[in-house]
Amino acid sequence: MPHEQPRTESSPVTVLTIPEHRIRFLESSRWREAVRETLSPLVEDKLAEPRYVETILDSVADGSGLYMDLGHGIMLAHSRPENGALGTGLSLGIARQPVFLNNAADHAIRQIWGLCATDSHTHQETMAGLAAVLVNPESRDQIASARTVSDVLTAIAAA
Amino acid sequence: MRFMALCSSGLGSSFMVELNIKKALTSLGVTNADVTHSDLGGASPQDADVFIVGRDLADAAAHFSPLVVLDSLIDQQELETKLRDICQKEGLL
Repeated sequence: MPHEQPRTESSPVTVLTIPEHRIRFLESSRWREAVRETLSPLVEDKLAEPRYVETILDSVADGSGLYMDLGHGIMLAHSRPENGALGTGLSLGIARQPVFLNNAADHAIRQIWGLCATDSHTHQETMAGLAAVLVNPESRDQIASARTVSDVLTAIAAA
Repeated sequence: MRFMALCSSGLGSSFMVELNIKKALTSLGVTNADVTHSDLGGASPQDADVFIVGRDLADAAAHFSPLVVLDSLIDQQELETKLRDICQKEGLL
């Protein structure tokens, strides 16, 4: 049985929406700075408290947060709602050069997706859209090599 | 048959894996599966028949059985292969 099903006009499409100002190109090669810069738009937009970011950094540093490395150079930076999530939202940081989570050689990251959500169910559409983008090898590569915000939005729309 | 994806937060990566599992089971032709997600702390080994985690949580989830451990949470090919194995073992395929 073929794995890939051809997309047709009638296929249900879940569109991932992310505001342009929450997409950042990261200059730092230090993982803490990269994660912090990626999540800062969520704090600025009052979707997360500053402690939400610190909890994520602490859990990566003590090793328990390394599961946020989804594989293929992608990190989903997120924590539990009670750690300071105020709303539901996404942000994206694209690293010009790989950053190594907790300085571990087997946790090289090129794309950081920041996620906050206030409960486990209301962000179904966001997660469905994100899953569609991230399981698609072409979309992953296009986003990793994007030079502009518009490149990123094009890649997301094509997923 | 109940499948449960686990992660530490219970709403990010495990939610995504739940969606990917549903897609994979459809593609494998497995019907009447119940797929959910939870945080590790809030789940008990009785909550499902098969548990799925990423490699970094394999040790923390060792008391869940049977346990499918994924190298990547966004590799649909890997997920399908490992789900096909477990479904064959459990007599679903």
